This record gives sequence, structure tokens and C-alpha cells, in this order.
Amino acid sequence: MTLFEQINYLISNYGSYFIKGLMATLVLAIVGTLVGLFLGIFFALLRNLSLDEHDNRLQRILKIIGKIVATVHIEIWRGIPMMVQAMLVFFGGAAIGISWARLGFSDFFNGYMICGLFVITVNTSAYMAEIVRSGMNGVDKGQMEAARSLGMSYMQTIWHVIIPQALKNSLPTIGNEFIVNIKDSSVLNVIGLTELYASVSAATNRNYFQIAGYIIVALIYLVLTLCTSLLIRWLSKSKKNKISNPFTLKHDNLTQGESNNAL
Amino acid sequence: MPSNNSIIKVENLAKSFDGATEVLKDISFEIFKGDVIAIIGPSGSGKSTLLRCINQLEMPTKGTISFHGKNINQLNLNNYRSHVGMVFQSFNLFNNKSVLDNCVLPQRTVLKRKKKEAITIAQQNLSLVGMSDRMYYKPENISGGQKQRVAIARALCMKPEVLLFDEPTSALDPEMTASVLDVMKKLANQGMTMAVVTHEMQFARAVANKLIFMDGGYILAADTPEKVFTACKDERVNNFLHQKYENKD
Repeated sequence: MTLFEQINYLISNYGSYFIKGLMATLVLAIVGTLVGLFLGIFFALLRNLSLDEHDNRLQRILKIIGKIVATVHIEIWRGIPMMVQAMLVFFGGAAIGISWARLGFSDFFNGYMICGLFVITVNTSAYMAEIVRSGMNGVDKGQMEAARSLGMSYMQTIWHVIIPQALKNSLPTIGNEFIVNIKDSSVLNVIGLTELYASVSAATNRNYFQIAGYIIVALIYLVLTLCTSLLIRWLSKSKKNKISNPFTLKHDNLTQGESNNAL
Repeated sequence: MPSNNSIIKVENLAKSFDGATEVLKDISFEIFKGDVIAIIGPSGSGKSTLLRCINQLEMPTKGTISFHGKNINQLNLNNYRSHVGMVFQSFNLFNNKSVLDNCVLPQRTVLKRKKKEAITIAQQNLSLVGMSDRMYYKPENISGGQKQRVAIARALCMKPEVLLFDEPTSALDPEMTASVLDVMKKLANQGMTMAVVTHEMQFARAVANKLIFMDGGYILAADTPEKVFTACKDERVNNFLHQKYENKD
């Protein structure tokens, strides 16, 4: 069989393996990135806590503890390869009595998947924390001062003014993290999770068409990452002036285009 | 006209940064209802720091600030700030919000106004500063003078008892400066209590009822503009005013 025929053979006979692997990879990357971003915002806020002259003693102690917790979390999860983290969480968890298999609730969301989701999410949260923190620090100091001078609390200011701008600034880097997750989720096969990369072994263990199998997944990875890049580029452009938040009002009688033209 | 109704009283205020650089030294003055106080002086004299201390963006090292006779340290900080509006040199409009949203957000979050009411109040104040036709624009799409007028409207939406202006026209060209000063004059005529750090001597002389001259962290003169401009005996004050007028000419 030529290489092309091998590829054809694998797609015809083992297409469902690749689709299942693709689904697993997408779920890992999407959930890992979104939940990781949410957790990352939390850890970024903790790590960005600074002592204020208005703080009382208890507030100062809590802030210092929060900062230490965030710093330790970020440094540990960024400092160890995800493959090692996956092994430690999966087998280490089992050693201390966490039964990942029991946490699974369906054929797709089995114990391996739950453990994989946990690892990729927490790992991503550490990177996201630094991405969001850098985005927050890039927001002009005057934004915080203006909001506080109007009587808005620190958290109101963070939620309504700083975070939307920080996310907007960080959108390309957040998109990049999603691409990294699409690719790096492949290391989770070490705990027995059958994602896209691992689907090659499952599809080729009887026919030995490994090269053809890896060409197929390489193309799928490439298509996924290219599409994500294009999506991020489009989002960065189209959302330039439209970061959503609970207080954004509908522009009934003037579109952004008109407003730009009017000037 | 000012009455005896004191809103803010500053007593023996001092502020130093890093325990070394003393920016304010023993500052005392009072803001009464209806006052328009112009605070002038050379750069680095502590004018902006004084306003920032009043709004608690900086914590004074010594001295007290009272709001209606109560030490502000005993008041809820956010509540106090909502009564003392501040307008910045660099406008500081929320970049992720439209002009209208800039005015609505603080009302909703701080004063807990209903959305409809907040929008109505925002529209009224934007109309007052001549910005009702730019309500749906983002700050990046309006000019500096327009941004400053929106910043004033945003502060007015909180119905503050005092408005603090920190060099509101320093970043603007003469035409835009005039548009912002017009709005400030309008507010002064409506009886708004204001403290304005400014280099606009004409404005200080024409609109303010009290003029404070600061240098080196001290108040060197505090009187009516006419008296400071014409009858002040302090040499540094006279030199400064003389230079300012010469430069204008």
C-alpha cells in the first residue's frame, strides 16, 4: 500500500477513533482554557494584592496570605512539566485514596478524562494568572484612581473596569494558551487518556500504519491551531471596541462604524 | 455666594512620601458651600497632592480633614468619595465603556440607582456639558476636550457636594481648554462648590471667589483673587503671578 492508500484505509476503517480522539482533545483544550482562565483571574487578583494605607491589621494579614498562596500555586504548576504533573496527580491521587475511576460518570467522561481535565485546568490557571496579571498591570493607573475617586469599591473597579481591559489586552496571549493546550493535551496520554495523539496507537496497533496515522493527526492539529489563530485574530479586531460587560448598553441609534465616520 | 456652611475643613495637613520628601507642610483651609477655590502655584508645590489627600487617593501623614464637621477617617470611604467628585488632568474615562456607560456605571455600582434613572441622569449631565450627541462613542473616538467634559458629567452624575479639579485643562490645546472652562464657569454660576488646581490665571481671577497660592508645600496666600493679584506682599507670589501674566502676553 502506498502512503496515500494507508491514510485512506485508516480514515475509512478507523475514522471514529480519530473523531473520538479529536473530541477528547477539544474538550480538554476548551474546558482547560476557559476554566483555567476563570481560575487564573482569581489567582491573578490574589497575587496582585497590595497593602493599602487604609487596610486594618486583619486585612493586611489576609492579603499577605492570599499573595503567598497565589505565588506558590503559580510557581509550582508552571515549574513542573504537565506530563509529570499528570503522573503525580493520577497515581499520587490513587495513593492517597482518590479513585479517579469513580469520579467518571460516562464512557467519554471516564476517570482518565476527569483527571486529565483537572490537570490541564489547574496547569493552565497558573499560566493564565500571569497573563491576566500582566494585562491588569498594563491598564493605566488612572482607571483605578478615577473609579475609586467616584466611590466604587476595589472589587467593583476590578470587575467592571480593570478586568475587561486586561482581558482585551491579553486576548492574543489567551488565544495562544488555547493553541498550546490543543497541542499539550497530547501528553495526557501518559495516564491512559485516549485523546487525539493516543488515537493513532489505537488505530494502528494492528496494521502498523503509524506514519499514515501521525500524518492524519498532524493535519488535524494543524487545522485546529490555524483555525484558532484566525478566530483570535478576527476576535481581536472585531472586539476592539466591544468588550462585553453587564453594563454595556445597546447602541440603538449609532453604530460604531457611524461613530468612526463621524469624526 | 459662600455661606457659613462648611463642607470640607483641612487642618494642619502634612504629607510626605517615603518618609522623606515632604510635599505638604501644615496646610489649613476650609471649603464652604458655593465656594469656587482656585489653587495656584508653581509645579511641584503640592497642589495636586492636596486634592488627592482630600479625595483620599493619598493618605495624609499628619493633620485632619473633616467633612461636615466629621473626621473623614471615621466615615465610610466610598460613601465619602461619592460626595467629593474629582476630575483629573488625564481625564481617566473608563476606556472599555461608552461615554454614556462611563456616567451610568458609578451611579449603578455606588448609588445603586435603577438603570433607567441612571441613564436619565447621565443624559441630563451629558447634555449640560454639551456631549449628548456623543453618548454612544468610546473614549478613544472623542477629543481631549470632549473627554474632559464627559469626565465632568460623570462626576456630576453622583450629585457631589464638592468637585475637585486637578489641572483639568493642562493637557488640552487652547480651543479645547476654552470649551472645558466654559463648562466650569457654567457650573460655578449654578452654585457648584469647586476646588480647582489650575494654571489658568484668567479663569482663577474671573470665576474663583477664593484663591490659594501654594509653594514648597505651604500656603503662601489665601484670599480673594483681587487681593492676591493686586495687594499680596509675598515676593514669591508676586513673582509667580508677574511671570504668568508676562508669558500670557
